[in-house]
Amino acid sequence: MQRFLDLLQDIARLWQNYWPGYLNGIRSTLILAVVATLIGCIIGFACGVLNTIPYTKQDRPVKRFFLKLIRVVVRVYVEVFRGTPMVLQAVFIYYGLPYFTYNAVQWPSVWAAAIVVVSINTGAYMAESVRGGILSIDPGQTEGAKAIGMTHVQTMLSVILPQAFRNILPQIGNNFIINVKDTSVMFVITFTEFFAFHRYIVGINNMYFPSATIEMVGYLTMTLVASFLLRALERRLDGSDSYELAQADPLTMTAGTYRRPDPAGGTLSQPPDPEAQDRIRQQRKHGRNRGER
Amino acid sequence: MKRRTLALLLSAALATTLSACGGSPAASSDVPAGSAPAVTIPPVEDLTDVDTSSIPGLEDGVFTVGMECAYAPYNWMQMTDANGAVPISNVPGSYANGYDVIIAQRICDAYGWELEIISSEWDSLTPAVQAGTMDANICGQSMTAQRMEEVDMAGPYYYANIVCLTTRDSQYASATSIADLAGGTCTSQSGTIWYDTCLPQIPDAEILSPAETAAAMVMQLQTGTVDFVCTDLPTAMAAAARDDSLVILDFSGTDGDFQFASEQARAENVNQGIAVQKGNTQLRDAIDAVLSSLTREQLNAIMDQAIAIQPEI
Amino acid sequence: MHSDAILEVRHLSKSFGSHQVLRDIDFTVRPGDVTSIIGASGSGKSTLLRCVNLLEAPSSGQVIFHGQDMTAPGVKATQYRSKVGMVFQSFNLFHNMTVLENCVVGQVKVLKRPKAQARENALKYLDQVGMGPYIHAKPRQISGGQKQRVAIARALAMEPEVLLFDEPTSALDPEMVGEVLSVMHTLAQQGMTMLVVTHEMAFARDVSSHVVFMADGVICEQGDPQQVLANPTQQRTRDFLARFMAR
Repeated sequence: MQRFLDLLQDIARLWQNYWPGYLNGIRSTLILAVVATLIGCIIGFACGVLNTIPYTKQDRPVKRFFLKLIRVVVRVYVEVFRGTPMVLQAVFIYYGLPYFTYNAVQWPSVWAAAIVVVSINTGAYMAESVRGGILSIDPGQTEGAKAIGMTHVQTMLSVILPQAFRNILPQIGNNFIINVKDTSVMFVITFTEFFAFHRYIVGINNMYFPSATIEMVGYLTMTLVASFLLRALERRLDGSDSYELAQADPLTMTAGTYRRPDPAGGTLSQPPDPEAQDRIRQQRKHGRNRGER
Repeated sequence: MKRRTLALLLSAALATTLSACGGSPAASSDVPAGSAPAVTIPPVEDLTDVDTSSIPGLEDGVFTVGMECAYAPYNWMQMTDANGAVPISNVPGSYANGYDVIIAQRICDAYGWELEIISSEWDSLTPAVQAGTMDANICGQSMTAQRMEEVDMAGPYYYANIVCLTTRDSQYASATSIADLAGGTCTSQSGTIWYDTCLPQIPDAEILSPAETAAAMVMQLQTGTVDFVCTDLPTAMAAAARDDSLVILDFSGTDGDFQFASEQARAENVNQGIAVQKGNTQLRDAIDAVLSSLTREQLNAIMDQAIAIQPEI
Repeated sequence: MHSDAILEVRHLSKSFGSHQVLRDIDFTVRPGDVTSIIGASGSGKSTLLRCVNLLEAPSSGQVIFHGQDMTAPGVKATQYRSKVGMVFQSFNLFHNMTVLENCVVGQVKVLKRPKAQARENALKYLDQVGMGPYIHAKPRQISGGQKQRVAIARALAMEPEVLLFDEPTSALDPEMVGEVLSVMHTLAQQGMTMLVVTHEMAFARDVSSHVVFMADGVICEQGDPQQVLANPTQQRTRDFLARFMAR
């Protein structure tokens, strides 16, 4: 019990002395994680779309060659960046660039390098998630879009990606949370975020557990807020479970059996009276509640 | 929710185990054994007439130095510019201080350079110098042959003697040679020359399995698991500064010291240098010119100074 | 020769690997025609329909639309498809859109109509199929028959010259078949040119102007519904009809 009280006291002392540093670290962590996740998603979606452009034997050989080339390039990108530790990629990208150019090329800032490293990593993971998300959409959706004359890009943007996005939203959330935590390895290229600050504290006073407790609470707060916001977004995208009828159902088309057409007729059912139809049209144009308030 | 509370409690329970060895305030009056309090530190030499604009990396007059800022008393991070601390350029609102910062500042003052400090993880300090992102690393690096194949090193800028650390009330507290430690229970950090080469030289010593970290090693001493531990002087000084029940046994320079196969082997493990890019001999020589004016005792006095200004928490 | 034809299928063949699904298919669709394609499952009816609007690329042969070969290299399939509507067995409504949006998106994206006009137009056709009240519903919230009516409205909203139906009632519960067939019947009476793959023999007999009977990837017999369905000349047609009517 005494030790628990000591811990609380030590946390209070640490926070009192170092709170601006901790908050600064949280800010850096969040900015990097948010920006890199967003860019990573864009990369992932771009790769996912490029990877699923269909081609057939009827297409010109040049087109087929380029589409195959794109798939190979995306595949190599995904495998290389997903299959190697981000911490080593960071060193290669941040220090390797000047090293192999004999100091001719330097990064403008460590922020730029960190965002690039985390983004392309996230992109590599997202590319596979997006590809899976696109493949999981019923092929009928693509056919439905094609049948009304949509191009591949239109089909993707209007029909497939919105559905794929909803399906992979949990994955995006996963990636964001992983990024919040894994950006800590960016200290290897001198990017100092929330976790780097913990190292400083421990390096100076060995107050490992008090600082670790602050870190854990901080990380948990960040990830819980992220989870909450993502759930809210999911609910928003799913829309409400109910829908409003645009008018009282006139039961024009309730279930029935096929009737032999009456030789004179051509109507689906009894024609709705024109007055009612006009009222309905007005309602739709101006909203149901117009004039009722 | 319940599970998380439990996890916190668990970590809290563990926490106090460690804060027991790190939480006690430093006793400023407790000057560690092995240092010579009478030494005065000479003023900085004026080398500003020397033209340094052709030194690679110093064309802009800014000396960019890499260090962890998490390795007290060599270098640490603090929240104010107290005691001559220098802003850490990649951590807004934070300042670096410690032995390495004092030395870096001396070098800059001598040539009229501006000092920029970048905090980085230990593992990537060497690639940072190789890439020219840092002009030099001043971070308590030993001048080992392997490291000097990757970078050039100026110095030594500190002699980190191999010492033993024991408790004040221990029967070994008054030892004057490794022979006096005979029969004691001891340990050190794994993968170090202290564990592999030094401890076995103590007659009849009972060597326990190695500790993973310096903190774990010190904890074994504080909890009475071992009679003494073997480590380098700054680590011992940092531990002693936080816990005044610890005393340092430094046999260096006497016949009772740990023996090495050659002087070179000793130097590799004791001498600490400043790393610069391979081939940047101009910078190395410029740094050496400043260091050469300081004796070993004066360097120790600077280390004492650093330990004295190390923040309590 | 067929200057008045909208759609001509000439010597069309389709193979999946070594399996030949369609062989030398030949028929013509003229304005106002309602052509029913009947035949046993696996006879290639659906593949034929998918080849007609180029969802499947024919292995050989031609699909000629207003005298222009749509299978020729460099022809934009998307433009052609916007003039040839398609209604699927499995509806294929866009799950991420409401009923109304389903009928608007093609007009806006493909035909570049202004949104307001596209909406007005969509409402007109949704009203026509009796789905006007449900414009705010998502596809998952309505029944199969309602989905198919929306799918028809979606195709109509593009104002196509020909409408293809791929077994539009096969995935429906029996009590919902009628509502969809009623809509199709009305369309036929309004003069819409339709090409319908169906198992509804009553529909083929009463509504279509032309019946094509397929077996094993070839057109076995085609002509006037009275002739094909009541007095078939081919033994295979008779066998099929006998089996079908016996069910």
